[in-house]
Amino acid sequence: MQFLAWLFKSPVGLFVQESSWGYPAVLSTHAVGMGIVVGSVLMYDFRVLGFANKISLAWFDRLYLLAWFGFALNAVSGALLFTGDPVKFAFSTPFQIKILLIFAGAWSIWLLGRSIHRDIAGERTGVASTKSKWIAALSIFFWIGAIVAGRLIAYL
Amino acid sequence: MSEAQILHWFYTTALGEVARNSRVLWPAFESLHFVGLCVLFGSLLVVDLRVLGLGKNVISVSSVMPFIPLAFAAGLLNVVTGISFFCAQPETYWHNPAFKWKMALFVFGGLNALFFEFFERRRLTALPIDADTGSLAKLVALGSMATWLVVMILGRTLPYTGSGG
Repeated sequence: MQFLAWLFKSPVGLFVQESSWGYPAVLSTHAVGMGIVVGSVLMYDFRVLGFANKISLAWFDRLYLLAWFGFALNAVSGALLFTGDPVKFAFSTPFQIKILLIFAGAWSIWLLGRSIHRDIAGERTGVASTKSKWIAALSIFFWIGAIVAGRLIAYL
Repeated sequence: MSEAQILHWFYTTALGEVARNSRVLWPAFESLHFVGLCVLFGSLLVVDLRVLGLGKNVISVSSVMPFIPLAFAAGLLNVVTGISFFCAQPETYWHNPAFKWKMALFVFGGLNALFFEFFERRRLTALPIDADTGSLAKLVALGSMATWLVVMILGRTLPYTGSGG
């Protein structure tokens, strides 16, 4: 609680709360980061599940760096948004669920990358294993869930 | 009909009525609008990056083409959810400069994608793996990425640029 109050009064917190363009700028960055992370991750999941299956699974390795860049962008912009109203966020149930879902989503992508690499090494076909498909389906659930929970912070 | 009458007509539609008064529909449509944004941007990210040459020795341009109809479907989802936001409070949106720019760029992004679909796709699909896609196709891909990035930024900024009217 003391930490949250300190954050609220910190220069960064004050900037986010008081600057007329600070808050919308950080919010826009957060939306762009979401488009990059969730956008590229969902496309990867769709491919693993069999969509556009002429694309080699290995090609998506090249999107990995971009996806993690988006993730880092949103970790930073998300932390800034948090300083704008730390007490409200820390005690908001949808916010807590959102954070859990983001951790689960990041974990699922890490797991999917490992699983796919094993598939490719083992079979050299373009078809993902059933295990990889399950992880991809879970990843879709986690990331869409994170978006819905994030929206609900404003309403519940 | 005057501008005010047209805006009022949108306001009185059943969709506007429901969007204003339902506690569930607004957040549900906002969530759908965000998911649509991710699918639209993500699918065009795959197409545009490949057209720009990412991993061109690994996959052909034709292999990423299934993502184009997916992008159009997501765009349609966001037009439908977006129209219901507009109907709920047409005056507020219409008099907001960020909204007008967002709409102009959305139309530009859509036309850019249609241009790609009807004037570039056939040629690109026939290209062998590793072939250069050409400067026009690359310009269209860069334009697409830039347009949708700005559309996202304007969409998220728009609640703060209105007069509050």
